[in-house]
Amino acid sequence: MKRVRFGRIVKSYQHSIYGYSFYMLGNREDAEDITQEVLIKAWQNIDSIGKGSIKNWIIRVTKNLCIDRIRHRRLNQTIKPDPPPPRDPEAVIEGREIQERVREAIGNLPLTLRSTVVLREIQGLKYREISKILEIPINSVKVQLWRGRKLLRQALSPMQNEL
Amino acid sequence: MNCKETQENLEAFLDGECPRRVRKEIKAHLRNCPHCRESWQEAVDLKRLLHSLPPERCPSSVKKKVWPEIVGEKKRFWGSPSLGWRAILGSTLGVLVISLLIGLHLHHRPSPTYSREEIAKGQAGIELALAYYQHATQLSTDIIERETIPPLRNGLNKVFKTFEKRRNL
Repeated sequence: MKRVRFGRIVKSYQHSIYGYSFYMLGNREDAEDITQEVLIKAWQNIDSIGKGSIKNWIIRVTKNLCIDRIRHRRLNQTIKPDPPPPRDPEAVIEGREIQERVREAIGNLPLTLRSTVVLREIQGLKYREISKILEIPINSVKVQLWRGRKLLRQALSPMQNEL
Repeated sequence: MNCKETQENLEAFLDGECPRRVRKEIKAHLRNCPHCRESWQEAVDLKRLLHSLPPERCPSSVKKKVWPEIVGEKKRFWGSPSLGWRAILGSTLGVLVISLLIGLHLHHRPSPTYSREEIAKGQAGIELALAYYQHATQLSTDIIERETIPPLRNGLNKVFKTFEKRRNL
C-alpha cells in the first residue's frame, strides 16, 4: 500500500517538483537532484503526511531544498547555470530565443519574488494555496506578485519592443 | 471604481482572484479609461509570455535513481536483526499451516463428517494463525497482501468447500 501511494505521488507531482526546481535554480542538473531528494523524503515520510496536505508538503519541501541549494551555491561560489544559447539577432523572433530570455528574467528575480511568481505563473496555484505554502498572508502574495511582475516587465520590455 | 483602485486590483483581476462585484467594476472602468487599459494590456502581454514557456518534464532518469533508495530501505528492513527471528518464526508457522492443509486435503481415508460448527471453528483457527503469521513476520504489507495471503486464503476456501461437499454427500 505504501508503494502504491508513493507511485501515485510520483506520477502526480514529479513534473511539478522538477519544473519549480528548474525555474528556481536555473539548471536541469540541480533540478533533477532536488526532485530526487524530494521524492526520497516523500517516501521516508509518507506515513506521516496527511492525504489532504500532500501537495502543500511537497511544494514546501521543494522550496526549502531549492533555497538551501542556492545558499550553498553562494557560499561555495559553485553557480553553474545551463550554458546560454548563442544570441542570433535573426533568432530573436524564434520562440526558443524568447523562451530563453523569459527563463533568464525569472532566474534574475530576487528569491522571494521568484518563488511566488513561479508558483503562480508556472505552477498555476491560487493565491490561497501560495499563501499556505509560503506561510504568508494573501496580501503579501499579491504584493510579491506585483513586484515580481513589474521587474519582469522591465527586464523583458526591450524584447517586446523588438517583437 | 477609480484608477487607483483599478490598478491595485488589476493583477488579481487577471489572475481570476477577484470577487464578481469587483470584476464587474474593473471591466466597466477599463472600458472608459485608456491609461488603465494600457496597464491591463501590458499585464496580459506578460502573462502570455510566461505561459508560452513549455512545461518542464521530469526526466525518467530521476525515477531510476530514486528506486534503488527505496529498494535499499526494503533490503535493510529485511536484514534487520530484530526482525530476523520473527521472519523465521513466521515462515515456520506458515510452512506448518500449509503442510497441515495439504495433508488434510490429500488424505484418502473416507473423511469424517464435520458439523458446521466444527468447520467454522477450524476456519477461525486457521484465520487466527494467518493473522499471527502476518503480524509476526511484519513483511511489507503489500507483498504479504498481494502475493501470500490471497493465495493462502483461496486455498483455504477450496479446502473448506471440499469439506462442505463431503459433508453434504
